[in-house]
Amino acid sequence: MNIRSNILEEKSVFDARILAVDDSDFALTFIEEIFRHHGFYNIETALNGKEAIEKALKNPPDLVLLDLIMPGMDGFELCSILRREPTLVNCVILIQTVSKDSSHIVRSFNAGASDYITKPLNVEEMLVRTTVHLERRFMMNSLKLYRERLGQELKNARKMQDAILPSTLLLEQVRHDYKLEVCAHFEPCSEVGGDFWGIRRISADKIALYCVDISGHGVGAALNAFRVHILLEQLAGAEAAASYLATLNNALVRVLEPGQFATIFYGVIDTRNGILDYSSAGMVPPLLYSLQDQKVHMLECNGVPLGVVEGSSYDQKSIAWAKGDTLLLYSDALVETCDEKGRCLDAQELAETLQREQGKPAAVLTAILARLESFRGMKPLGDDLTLCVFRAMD
Amino acid sequence: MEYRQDIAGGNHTITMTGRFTFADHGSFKKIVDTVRAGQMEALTFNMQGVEFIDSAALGMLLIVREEAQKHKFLVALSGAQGQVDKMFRVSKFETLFTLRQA
Repeated sequence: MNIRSNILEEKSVFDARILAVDDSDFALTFIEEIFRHHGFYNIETALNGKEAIEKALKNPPDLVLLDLIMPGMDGFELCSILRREPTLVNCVILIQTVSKDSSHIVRSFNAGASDYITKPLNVEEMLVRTTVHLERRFMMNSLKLYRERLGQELKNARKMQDAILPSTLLLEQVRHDYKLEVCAHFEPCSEVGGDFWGIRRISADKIALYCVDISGHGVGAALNAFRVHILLEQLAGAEAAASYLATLNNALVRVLEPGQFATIFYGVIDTRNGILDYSSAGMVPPLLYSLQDQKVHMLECNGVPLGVVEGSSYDQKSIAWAKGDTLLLYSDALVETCDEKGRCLDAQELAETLQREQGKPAAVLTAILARLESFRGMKPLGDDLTLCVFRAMD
Repeated sequence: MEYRQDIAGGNHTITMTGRFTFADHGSFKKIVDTVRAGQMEALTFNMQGVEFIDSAALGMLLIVREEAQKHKFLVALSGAQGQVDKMFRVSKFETLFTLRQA
């Protein structure tokens, strides 16, 4: 076996900091020479436990080669002490022992050893074990750094995603200017997701509201959510629900890949005339609680999801929108999150909640989320969840 | 989701059972590969045994539709019921596929 060429293939192994600990000066010189001869250069030595601890803490090694039998602090004790140090938790500790007693080997592993080598030292075995463990350590470190970087990037992406949702300031303005009370909950099933909701001012007495669910989950869906959001905020004609969805659809057909699409409910409230005009493209039908008759109406409105077929047209429907009326928009995760027996929230139960809470947004939202929690338990969501409650203030 | 593929001349039928979701992306790719290979005259998804479909799975069916258009053959969805039928109706799938009852 050509150990040298094996080692040379992974250059980072050469950079490893190695600490050899042995009470024999001769043994240390021998070990150091072997390592240097095979390309390692960052080697320290220690003749006892105390010196080893000092050197390991000052300059944490990647690998400690440790003699088990030493006067004073033996290899077991030293191994335990080193392993407890936060900077050495992932350090490779190779124990050298003349003993073939299995209880010694077990005790070594219990003390935190990564592996053991029997004495007299077999040079090839020592180098191979050193290389294998160091490669694994470096790979694990690399994965850890990658995960940390990715985690930070996803955290930043999540902040950006939260920023496309209506701000508290906007909700206060909408409450003041349009007498519209809004409560909402957004929860992606992974770090980022493909759901979002929004409000767009159209005129002094017209305001649009929407809830969007992009197909798929995770980063891909989140990137498409940004695309759709930009279009939703910028395209002209936002006051007419059906034609606006048709325009949005044609824009999305050009940018979305086959199999990707967006479902949306889009409504325009005319506060002067007390009307809600709405269209839908594949979105789960929302519910409207009417204060006047204290009934809940399902706003059935079908439509091909956005981004699938160029030239799709959409139906537009209208319903009265009066003081005290409440509109509940939600993505399908709300009615697809089931308990272990397969029971889920359904439109009937959502309607009952709206009636029981008389459409008051905070109470409705709290009640629905509590009910969802009872189905979901400790399980993560299987899909992104958005829940919005809009109420025409009395 | 589990599926079985039956071939009778140029007519392919894929019979699916269980929950058809995002998690089936890998196995569905094999179906898409078969479609891309062409040599079909018609493809029917028998969905009578599918109890649940999510939006990601709808996307997979749309990919098949796209491929079918390239290869000029029809895709039919048959036997959808319950939640699956509701999803097809909400998304107006009758305008995109041939929908058949069981």
